[in-house]
Amino acid sequence: MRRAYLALIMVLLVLCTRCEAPRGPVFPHRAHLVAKDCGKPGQNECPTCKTCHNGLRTSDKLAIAPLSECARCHTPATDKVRAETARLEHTTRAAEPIAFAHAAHLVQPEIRGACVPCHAGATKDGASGAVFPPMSECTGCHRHDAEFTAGECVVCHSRSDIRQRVPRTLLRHDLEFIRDHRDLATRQAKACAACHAQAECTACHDDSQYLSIEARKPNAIDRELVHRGEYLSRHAIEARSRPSSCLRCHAPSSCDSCHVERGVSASRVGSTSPHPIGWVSSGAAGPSGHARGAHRDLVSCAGCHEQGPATNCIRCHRVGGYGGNPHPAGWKSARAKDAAMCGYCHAP
Amino acid sequence: MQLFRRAALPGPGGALVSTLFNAPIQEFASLRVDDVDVPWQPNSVDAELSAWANVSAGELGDGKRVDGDVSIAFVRHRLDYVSFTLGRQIQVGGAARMCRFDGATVSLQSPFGLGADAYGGFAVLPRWSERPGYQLLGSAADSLLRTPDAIEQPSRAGSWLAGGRLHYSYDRLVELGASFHEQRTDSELDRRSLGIDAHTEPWSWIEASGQVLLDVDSWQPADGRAAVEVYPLSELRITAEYLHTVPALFLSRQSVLSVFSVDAFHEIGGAASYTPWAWLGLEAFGYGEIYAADSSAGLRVGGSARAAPFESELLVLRLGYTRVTEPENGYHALRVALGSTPVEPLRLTLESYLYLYDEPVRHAYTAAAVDTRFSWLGATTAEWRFIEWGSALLGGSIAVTPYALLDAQLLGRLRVDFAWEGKR
Repeated sequence: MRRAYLALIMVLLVLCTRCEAPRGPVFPHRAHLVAKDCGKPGQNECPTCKTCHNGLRTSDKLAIAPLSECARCHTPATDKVRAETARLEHTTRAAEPIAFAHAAHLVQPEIRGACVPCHAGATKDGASGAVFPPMSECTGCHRHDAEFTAGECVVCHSRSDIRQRVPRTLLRHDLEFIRDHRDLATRQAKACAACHAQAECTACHDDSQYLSIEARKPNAIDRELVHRGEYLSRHAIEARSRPSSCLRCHAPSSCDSCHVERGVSASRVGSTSPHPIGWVSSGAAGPSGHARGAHRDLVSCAGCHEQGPATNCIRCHRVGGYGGNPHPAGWKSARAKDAAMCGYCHAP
Repeated sequence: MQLFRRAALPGPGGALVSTLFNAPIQEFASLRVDDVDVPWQPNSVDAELSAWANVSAGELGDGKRVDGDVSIAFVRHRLDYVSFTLGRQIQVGGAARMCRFDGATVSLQSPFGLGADAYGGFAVLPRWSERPGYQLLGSAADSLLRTPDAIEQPSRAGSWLAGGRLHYSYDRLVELGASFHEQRTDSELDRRSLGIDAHTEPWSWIEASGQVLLDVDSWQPADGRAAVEVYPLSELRITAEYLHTVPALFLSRQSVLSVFSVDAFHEIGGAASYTPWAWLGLEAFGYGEIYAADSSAGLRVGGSARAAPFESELLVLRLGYTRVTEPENGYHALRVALGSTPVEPLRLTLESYLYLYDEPVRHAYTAAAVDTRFSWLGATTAEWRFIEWGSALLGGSIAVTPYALLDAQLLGRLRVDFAWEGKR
């Protein structure tokens, strides 16, 4: 098995020699835009956005000035400048993350040929990651309703680009997202699939996997994960607080599978009852604790007592039993009484 | 690799618990391929494969030495208005809720906003549920079995599901959907549900949505949710929400327990998030729960703040407080998390959680040496992105909980990402 793992890692390493992820520019924009040794008599013209990116006015391809443009100031052109220019050109070709019509936008009356309103980050120090405007800047004018509905992000984004980006404005997955994502996944399944593989759903929702998503991503401090922190001690509180919320992801019997393993299940010989004294009997104050608890949160009962009729209420609450009729007022079912489960009380 | 000393907890009445030395190694691998050409349609075939494996060294307890499973494995073919998906896949939302199956899905999408999905196949059985469950309709105690492994594995032959969803949308102004889902276990009815969902965004600053899940067997709403989201400012989002749930209707129709209750629980509340500056985010929420069975109530309130005062995530600070109460217990939770990228390939995190419980968590098993009214956990990680497509992470945590005088864990993770885009 050890050899198999080593072989797998080697295969991945070989495959990855062909990989390259798109990156944002790391060019020191600000240093060039506020350059002081320029514009005076006898000096070169001060660089502006147009100096290097003028090609964008006529073409949608991202234009980078040739090395000769750098050599106007950096004389003689050092090896570092040459290498940096070559790398920038290569990175730009590899990335091209957004299909964007610069030429069409620059002539708009609201923009009037200015670059800074969208690329304000280029004028700040160390702003390599903020050179591009947020997506909300685009959707302020272009709602892209049809594309959202159809989940067609590739109209603007390349597939490799969108999977490596974290949405910061639109589609931002903030604290409320953990509550909303069920509804979004229903309505916008295709939009979700544009970025997310189904395996990302099962990373949380497939509870058969040994490691939880919290354990696999211990450094994702910005993600709102349900079982983050010390969950074992509070899992019963969480289950009682929002009955059935566990069942949105977990099968009821998954509770007992874990309880059996840890020796706290009715299915395990030698287990001690977690219920207080008097849990079953009724008192003068009204219904017994077990009746109140069951009606309020039957799902928690199922965590242990879902192991067949001998483990649960039907031992007493059955036709002819001393617990009385199990069906509460308002209960109804379309099933025939010859259904297997009904047969415990009702003769077919 | 996760190396830990684990106790099968808790031992009854202060008895000594057994401990295990175990070193499990987990591997997760996933492959996704998009836009493969076929002769009759370019860029039309997608495929996904995801699997995990676990190998345990040391003492096993009830676990397995070698284990693994395929999570997702499907091929999809997209044509202009129809797509076919075949293999192990998931279906989410509407009446399906969340299900995983081996089967097929057909999706139709008309250019007029009307669409339909239909799916069917054999349900993927949860592996944690391999051992006695309601599908056996008999308990381990009844059959005098003392070793769960001796019980026959459940058969998949009668575990199948099928369903579909019809939906219509007119831009983002209105989206409507109706869905149906039927699931069988051992050929008996597990659940039969009807779902209705709607969403509208009449203006860019307000959205409203609602979903109802109807249990067809009893013709009662098992689950319903209505929410309104308002964006009075671009930096401010406010949500109001109502949730109605009948927990018993989430149980399998094969569960004897499902006939014992029809009581609902209601939750009403809201949340707000505010980002006054790009480096600061504030969030708050508050929900009240009402349990109709005994007219008791619960509460869930909290707030958090995220500050990233420097660019390039040199420093990220998160603070959070949560208060939860329910009829039997409750807790206060405090969280402090710190993330830092002091030099570009190195990322560090430090987290601490403190929980203060209203009542002791382990009523019956309290050991004198353990204060069962609090938990504390501290965790740290260091991730070194040694190359653009690979990183190594070392993490560790220490916890003091009602279940453990000391819980220490160490985690090592090697991550490899690769993306290759072919010519299109």
